[in-house]
Amino acid sequence: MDAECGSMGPRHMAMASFLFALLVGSFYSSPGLADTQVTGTAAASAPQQVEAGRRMYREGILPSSEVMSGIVQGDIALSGKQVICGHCHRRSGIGAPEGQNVARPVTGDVLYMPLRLPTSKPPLAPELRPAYTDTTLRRAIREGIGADGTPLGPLMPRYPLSDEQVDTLIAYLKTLSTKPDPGVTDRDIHFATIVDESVDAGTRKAFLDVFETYFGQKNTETRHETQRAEHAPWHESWTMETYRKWVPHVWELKGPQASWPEQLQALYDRQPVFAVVSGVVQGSWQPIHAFCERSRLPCLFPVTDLPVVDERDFYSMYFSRGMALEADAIAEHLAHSGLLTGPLIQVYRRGDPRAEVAAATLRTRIEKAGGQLRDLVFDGPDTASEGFWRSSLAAGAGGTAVLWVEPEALGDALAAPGDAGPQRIYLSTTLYGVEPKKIEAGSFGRVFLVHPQEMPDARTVRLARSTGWFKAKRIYDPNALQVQADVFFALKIAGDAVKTIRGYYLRDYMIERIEHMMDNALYTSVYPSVTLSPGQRFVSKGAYIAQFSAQDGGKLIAVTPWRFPDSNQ
Amino acid sequence: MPSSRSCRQFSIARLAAAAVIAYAWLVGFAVAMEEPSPSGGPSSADQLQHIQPQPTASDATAPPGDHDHGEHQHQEHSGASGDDDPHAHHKATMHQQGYERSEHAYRLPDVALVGMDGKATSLLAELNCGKPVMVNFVFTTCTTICPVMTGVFAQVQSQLGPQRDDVRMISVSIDPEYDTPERLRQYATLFKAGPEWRFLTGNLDNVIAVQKAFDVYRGNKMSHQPATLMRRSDGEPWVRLNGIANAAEIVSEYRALVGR
Repeated sequence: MDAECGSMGPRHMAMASFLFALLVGSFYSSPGLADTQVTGTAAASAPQQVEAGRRMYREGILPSSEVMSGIVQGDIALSGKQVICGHCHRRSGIGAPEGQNVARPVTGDVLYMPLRLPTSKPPLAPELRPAYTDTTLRRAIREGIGADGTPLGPLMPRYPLSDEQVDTLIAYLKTLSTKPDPGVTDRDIHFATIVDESVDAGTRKAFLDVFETYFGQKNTETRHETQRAEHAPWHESWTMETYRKWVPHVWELKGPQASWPEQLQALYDRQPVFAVVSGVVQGSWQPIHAFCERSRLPCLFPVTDLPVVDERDFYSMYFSRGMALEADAIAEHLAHSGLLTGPLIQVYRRGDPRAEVAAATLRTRIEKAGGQLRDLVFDGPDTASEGFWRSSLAAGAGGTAVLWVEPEALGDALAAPGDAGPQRIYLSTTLYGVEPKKIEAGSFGRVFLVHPQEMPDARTVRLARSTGWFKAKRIYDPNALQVQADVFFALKIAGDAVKTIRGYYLRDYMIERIEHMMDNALYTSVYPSVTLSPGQRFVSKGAYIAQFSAQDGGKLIAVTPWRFPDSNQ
Repeated sequence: MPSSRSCRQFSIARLAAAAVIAYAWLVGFAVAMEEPSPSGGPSSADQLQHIQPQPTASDATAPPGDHDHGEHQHQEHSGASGDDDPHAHHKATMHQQGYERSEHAYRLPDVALVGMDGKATSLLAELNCGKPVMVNFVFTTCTTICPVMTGVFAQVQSQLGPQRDDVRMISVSIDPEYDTPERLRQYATLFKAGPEWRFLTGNLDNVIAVQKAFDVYRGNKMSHQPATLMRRSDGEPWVRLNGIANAAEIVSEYRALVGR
């Protein structure tokens, strides 16, 4: 019990997780959501000092603008990013376990109270660690000695800080995670999802059916959870009292994307939610991403091919990099084949947001590799003319053509036998689909498709469980299966995350738990592998390159393993 | 009214149960501290030849040090300490972790991997290089132990000085989905890795196969346990240091192993 950030031997693994669970349970478990009680001995600190402390905690930058340094493991001097407090103890300050190593909570509310089993009524449980004081906390940060005088674990850096610097850091710790985030009351927790009016009616219904049915099921109270929360016996109150009803909100967006931020703000002001779970819109998710970052609102796993690819942001989590990933996967495949430097053309419709993002990403990759990529762009709502395709394919003759198009736009361009034009043609299954449509079998050998999810046969197996649930609830829509599977997965993850954060209704902590639990998810998605880690924001990072099989009636067959292309980031 | 009586009985039963559970809980808590954990440590007992375990400071009964830290807790920053090494006290208070040493004959599969230059390689091609090798397992977005383990390897290189290129050091990423060659190159640069220190990735199955062969696979990267493995040359047993040994300890194990 000596370490705030300690490395424990195998014998104490169970103990570590047990204590961690206790701490997690102890914070907001008193009846109701008591507002913050400022603990500790110091009076409220100046906002500038707190801000300077925040930079130390989150960025490892001293008030003098120098980078912080520290000694770990007896003889390892680390500095900068490697000794940032918030890396281990996380943005929320609640800490995190990794294997047998536990970074303990460092919020003022926890540090300045004795550590003991949380109980709602007397008797108090035995004290496991005395409360820190300003003096002992300074000593802990600088010398690695805990409140009870024993050394902290060797992974906790010892920071050579001046009195003023250490007090600045402590001032911030005292403000860290002191009260629950908006969207939670002592009975309810509010969640929203986002639907844009231009989403077609079938997709919209398939999507909302899953969302609303899930909330209905979640609130059925099979064990009378509300009553248990109100009348929990003392030894169980720390888990039972954290139960909340889930209240769903559907945020409908109307009109042009430019007006969305205002609409979102108005919806949020009417009823703040704890998190946004899933969502489906036409076009880019960017306006919602920006709103969520600004509002410090978790936005979890929308159905989108156009996420914001920027892992410096915190609150938006996605299934994959979407169209950008597809372009990266094609670039990687070209590089493996020695074709990255051309000759190369890409074809797309002007104003198609998905195709334009893919095309821009591919261009960056090709240019970075020193190659040249020629863009051939067509106008018009759907169909490129026959003449356009004839000249485009002629332009790619002997080289590679990447066609960011839907089947309607491709038309009959590859329907006739013959191998004139490009030696190799790439399509995206997200845009083109998984069937050859009008592509003539003679062209199968030169057509490659980037496929950023599980292959069709295996996908059916992967989705068997969620599909079964949709059918049992009579909401199954085979035409929108991926949308349904995506929203279901997002809801399951959100449900598990809320269970895991227990009484800590902190959005940052919820995000941190999702980062940690994704690798253990017990439910499946359309993706072969889902994984996260601190700072990662895309759970699926891979893609297959596939071809239509001439022997197998045009069936889509993977020709590469599930690969993880480098991104532009 | 039967319903009210049964209700009261239920309440009494519940109270009693609560008391019993609470008591058992607190007692069990104390007992848990003394119980050896069933998990942890290498599980391939068949291959394990346990020699010379080092005292581990994670052992709660071990004294934290040979002196009372309270006595000199403020010396460091009062400037009164005449120590040559201003970190001497920090180091003393931290030298409690220790590690556990064992020897193993691992059967290693020759799986395909990818180097941080993006080129294809294989496990045995990397290991059987005619030099002693040191291996650890990390991932670049790990916040807790990997920066320390990687920092330890960096420190080992600097402590070895001109001899650092006599030993091949290999860090295998256990998060191959995120740790692309480019990210590994950035990570290596961050830790100023010398030319003989290589970061490897590969496809998911192969990286898991490597972890299993070295008995470090724990289901997923978030259950990551630290270990350092070293071998004098091809065909000789592996020395396994479980836990996070510090740089001086690794260097001394390495020198004992290669006899230099």
